[in-house]
Amino acid sequence: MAIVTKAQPVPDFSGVWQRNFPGASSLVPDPPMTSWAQERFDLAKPLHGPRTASATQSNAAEMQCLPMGFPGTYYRPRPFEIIQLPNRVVMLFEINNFWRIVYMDGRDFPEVPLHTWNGYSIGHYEEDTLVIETRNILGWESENQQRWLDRLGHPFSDQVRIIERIRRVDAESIVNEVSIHDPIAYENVLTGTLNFRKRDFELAEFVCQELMLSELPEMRPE
Amino acid sequence: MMRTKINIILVSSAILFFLSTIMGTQAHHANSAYDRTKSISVTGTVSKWQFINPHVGIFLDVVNEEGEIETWSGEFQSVQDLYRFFSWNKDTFKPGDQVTIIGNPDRRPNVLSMWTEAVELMDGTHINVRNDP
Repeated sequence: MAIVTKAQPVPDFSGVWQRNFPGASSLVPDPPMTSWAQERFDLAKPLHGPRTASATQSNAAEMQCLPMGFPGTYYRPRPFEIIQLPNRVVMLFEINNFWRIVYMDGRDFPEVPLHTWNGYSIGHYEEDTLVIETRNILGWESENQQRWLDRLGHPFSDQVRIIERIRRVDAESIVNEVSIHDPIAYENVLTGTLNFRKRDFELAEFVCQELMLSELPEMRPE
Repeated sequence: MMRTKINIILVSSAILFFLSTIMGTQAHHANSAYDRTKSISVTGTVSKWQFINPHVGIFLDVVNEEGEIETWSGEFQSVQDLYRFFSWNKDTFKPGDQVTIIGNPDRRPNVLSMWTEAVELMDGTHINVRNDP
């Protein structure tokens, strides 16, 4: 595996990007699930897709302003900014004001994992491509602590590994080829591509917890 | 108070439903909450403008056909979308403003709310808030 040295040019992904896949709610809408996953999928009340539940009845993490992990976060329509530093790539997501650091200094995953909502990401460049591997994402926990790969309610386990390969398509767009490795939940590796277009605006503060202040009937539990 | 007319326009076209589904509104949450096959229009007096995330809300006092005041709400997309594309902010509407909101009604018949598609100001300005420029 070739790791780019300082002598080699680093592909430029800096800027604000926003998803460009209308209606997309899942990388793989109907993946072959293990019985472990099927059992949990049946308990999901997603906000999108054929099993759409009312926002007031859904158990989607996003309705509690909780993070959606990866690649789940990309399905949100909000933009994100990529900042490339010599030893890390910083991704700032407008949704819920959260950040993601991809360590580019050649380190390995921590010996003792700390499972978090968005996991631990390390990366490197392969010619024109930014390759990111993410592990240690908190997996599906309970009916009221749903963690999904997408917006359709497909669960994942603590063992999930997400590989992203990001490259430019042209000056105005990038593509992220994602593969999901989770033998506990899925019989095969799940793969798909997500496209993003460049935006000419800046990120703004997005405090999702304002949800608690909303008086809109669709924002309040019944 | 001037009697305010509530226009209910049933748009039965399956085409409209199809278009609204595939074009999407990038809604934070489900389309299911609102009936995309119907479009309604409500005119009233702004009582509250909640310019907050994840979805902005407008609340109107509307006089119904019985002459009673009902509170209607209109749900919008997020603060950032309304600011970026329409330059709206927390001061765009104030209590007392007269506006018309147009959109898809809540599926629950007793809930007076809509997923807002457009706003009409008293000077005739029509703003399609689902039009992401």
